[in-house]
Amino acid sequence: MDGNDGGDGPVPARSVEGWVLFVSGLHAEATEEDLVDAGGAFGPVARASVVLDRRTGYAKGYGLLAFASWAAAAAARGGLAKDMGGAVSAEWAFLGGGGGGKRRR
Amino acid sequence: MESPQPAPGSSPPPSGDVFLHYSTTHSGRYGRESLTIQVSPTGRLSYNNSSGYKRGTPIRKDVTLSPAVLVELHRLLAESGVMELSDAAWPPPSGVGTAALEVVLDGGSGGRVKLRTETIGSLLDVVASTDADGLRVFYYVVQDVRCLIFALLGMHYKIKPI
Repeated sequence: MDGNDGGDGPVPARSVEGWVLFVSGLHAEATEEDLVDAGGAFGPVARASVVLDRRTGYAKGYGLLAFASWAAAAAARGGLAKDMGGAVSAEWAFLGGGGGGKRRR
Repeated sequence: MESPQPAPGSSPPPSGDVFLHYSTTHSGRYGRESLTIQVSPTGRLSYNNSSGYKRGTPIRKDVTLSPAVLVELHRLLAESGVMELSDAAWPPPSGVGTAALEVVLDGGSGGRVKLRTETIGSLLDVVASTDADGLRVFYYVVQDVRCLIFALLGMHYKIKPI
């Protein structure tokens, strides 16, 4: 099973197209292209989406980034925040069941 | 692998303790249609969509959201102004449809709200009502919650909701 990052971190759940990161802290003018460009540094991006604020039309501040490859997703999770700068953080969007139930916070 | 470690003296990490239940029903030419979204503080997202359209079978999805997603949802709700709303002056649920939203932040210490009204078809319905400002906040927070959930479900299951 490659769905474990080896540490005490959360165990992500596999999505239909691979492994999905939840990217938050995006700039109000961030686009899907920005996310694809930034994610592409870690491997081929399967899908990207930046959600817009329904009232203002600007980016709501978060997006989703999917990689088919586990290695690329794990690398992007560790490195995307540094690459995109500012307040950006990248975390798994979905957690696995089974042993993934125990959560701190 | 680094986890976000707040510097000493900085603000505490943002909360992701959120309970949300949203449902909307509509009775019309396709029978009684309903959509339900529930997020529990453990991260469990339950999504239900049943419609008589094209004799569609109900769609049910359950997935666990990560703490990062819960923090974003918590932030979205806390910043939306929805926690200050009251449905006292809103149109009551009609025979056509109901929209209901219940939110509890931080086990209640961050606010608790339970709102019910008739299904809002468009912003024009909002503008015509007595508590237009409150209904407008409700309308947009519902849109934003639906956008977040549909974006997540779309990525996880490749569902393309209408």
